[in-house]
Amino acid sequence: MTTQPLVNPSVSLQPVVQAPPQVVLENLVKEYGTLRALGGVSFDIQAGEWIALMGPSGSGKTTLINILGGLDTATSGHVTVNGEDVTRLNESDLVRYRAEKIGFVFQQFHLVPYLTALENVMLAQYFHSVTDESQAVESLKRVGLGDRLEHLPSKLSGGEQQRVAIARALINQPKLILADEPTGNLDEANEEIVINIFRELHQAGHTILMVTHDVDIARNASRRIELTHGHLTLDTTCNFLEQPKLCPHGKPFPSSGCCSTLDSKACTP
Amino acid sequence: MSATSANRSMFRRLLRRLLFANRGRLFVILLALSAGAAVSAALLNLQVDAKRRLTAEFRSFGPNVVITPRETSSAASLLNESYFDKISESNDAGEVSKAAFLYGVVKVSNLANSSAETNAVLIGYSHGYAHPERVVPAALVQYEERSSFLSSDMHCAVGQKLASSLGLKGGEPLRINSGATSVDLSVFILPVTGGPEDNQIFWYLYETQRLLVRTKSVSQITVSVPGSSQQIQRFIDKLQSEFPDTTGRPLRQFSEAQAKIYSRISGLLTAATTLILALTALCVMAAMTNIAAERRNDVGMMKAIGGSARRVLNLFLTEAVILGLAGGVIGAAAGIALSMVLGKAVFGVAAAPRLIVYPISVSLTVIVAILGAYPLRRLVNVRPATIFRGEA
Repeated sequence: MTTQPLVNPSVSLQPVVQAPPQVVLENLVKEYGTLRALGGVSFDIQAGEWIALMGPSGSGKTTLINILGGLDTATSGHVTVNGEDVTRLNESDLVRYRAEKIGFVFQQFHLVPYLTALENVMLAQYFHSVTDESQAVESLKRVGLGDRLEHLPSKLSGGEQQRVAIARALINQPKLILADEPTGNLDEANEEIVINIFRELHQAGHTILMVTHDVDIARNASRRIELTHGHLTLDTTCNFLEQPKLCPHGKPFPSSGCCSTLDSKACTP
Repeated sequence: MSATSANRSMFRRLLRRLLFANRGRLFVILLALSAGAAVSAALLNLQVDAKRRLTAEFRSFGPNVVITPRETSSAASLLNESYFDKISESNDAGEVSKAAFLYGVVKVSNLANSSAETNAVLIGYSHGYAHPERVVPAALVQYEERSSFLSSDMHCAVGQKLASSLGLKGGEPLRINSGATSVDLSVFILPVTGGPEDNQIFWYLYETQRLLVRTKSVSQITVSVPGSSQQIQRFIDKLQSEFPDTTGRPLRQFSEAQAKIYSRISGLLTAATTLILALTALCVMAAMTNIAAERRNDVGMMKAIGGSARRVLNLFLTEAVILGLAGGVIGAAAGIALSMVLGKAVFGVAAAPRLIVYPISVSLTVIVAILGAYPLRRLVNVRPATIFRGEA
């Protein structure tokens, strides 16, 4: 399978460290009754970053991504995206926010089963502003599905469905891509294809926040954030692409805390 | 392609996919809506048809036109008998039957028991014309058949109630006095009808005219005109123009008594129609509940990618309207055909298809479909996060 490059390779938008952050999370708390899913999480995301959000099940990763994407509301705290406080938006503003600023990619794909691949992508255009079939076709060609335009999701493999979901997430040129275990349901070959697409998106300057349990996938990200029981326990900005699977002390990543900005003391021999 | 037309095109595309996502269920919903539309259209057609017949349609049996003098006419509320002969004996639909009647109040007594004189209505009627059953009271038809064997004009027919009060038996003599003239006639007792005929005396027109001194005069002419409403109306209009000092009064399908029965039946029909539409809405709602359960994830996803509740609801309501229209158009046509059969069974006359019923029935079916889509309307309140967490 060949995929066309998502962007012009000559244009490389690297994050500008000094620029104001694209996303700011301030003391974010989410409670479901007596259960505290997020216990005051704070961090910033610079434009163009690829962040791997990690942590054990129930640590609050999906809750965080849902609040950031405007799918859920915070109990307290603030989320600011491009200067807009998402926690203060009303329902109709949240709809506009999701349509214009966020691109979602889910583990379960969440394609509409009775719409073709092309129509699934056009649906996002329809809810955003105006449908443009040629643009939707182009978007699917970029993820290598030019010959699957009229296929229903049931006629596509898992990897192909996820690529349709990525094309749908990107069609409205969102500021932020939120991916919740996008390769969780894929085999190795399809995982590679999908991760390559994310690599290209990152190179093109897209900001990506990806929930994953897979250390190898996290290794592609430029930054790793780890949550445990709703608290931030790791936020490292070291170069993941260069990072070995084991830290110099022989402890496996990510639990070693090596290069962590939060608890470097934990990484002691 | 402009932005609006591109989005309209996408809207139609989405609708087509929604409608045909599950053909089996589409068929079930259409069947429920069509059946509801068919029965409600049938009942509504019967209702409207019966109402129209009350005021617009002519009787198809018995006399359907009565000719009387105009109120302003001179000649003491009588018609010239020559009109009777001038009335055409056919129209473009077939043979026209007619009968002339002269009414007068006379004094009568039973000669057999020398009873006291009493007042009674004497009716002279023309006889010997074709198809008397179409234009004279049914009780007289028997007498007509019998009198053809009575070679004398010295017989008359007496209603049973009057005969009983005078103590008259069949064949006994009855004395009739009018002014200074009197005549003794042998009586034929008419069978009981329950109508005014039971208190009346019937005699031949010519003899009655002589007795009442109303030569060449009649009180009214009844006519049985064949054909459609338009043909009968044309016949009346022609009579009016030919005989301007007369009034042609049409007799409708329903009598006042029948109208009261109709009023009760109409209430029942309305209740039955309402019940059937409510049942149809429940059937559709059951199917839509199933669809709503299947579409929860899709709606959650649509909202996640920026679909507003209004736009998603718009899709589902349009889908319901299309289903209602399709079910209504098919069902209402079948229902109107069904009403013709039902009309024959209930009223004894096949109900004519009434065009007004069609749009009413289709509109009602669309409303039922929209009400039945209530479970889909509730879907728009789905919160995407709960769907993706697998809570719903």
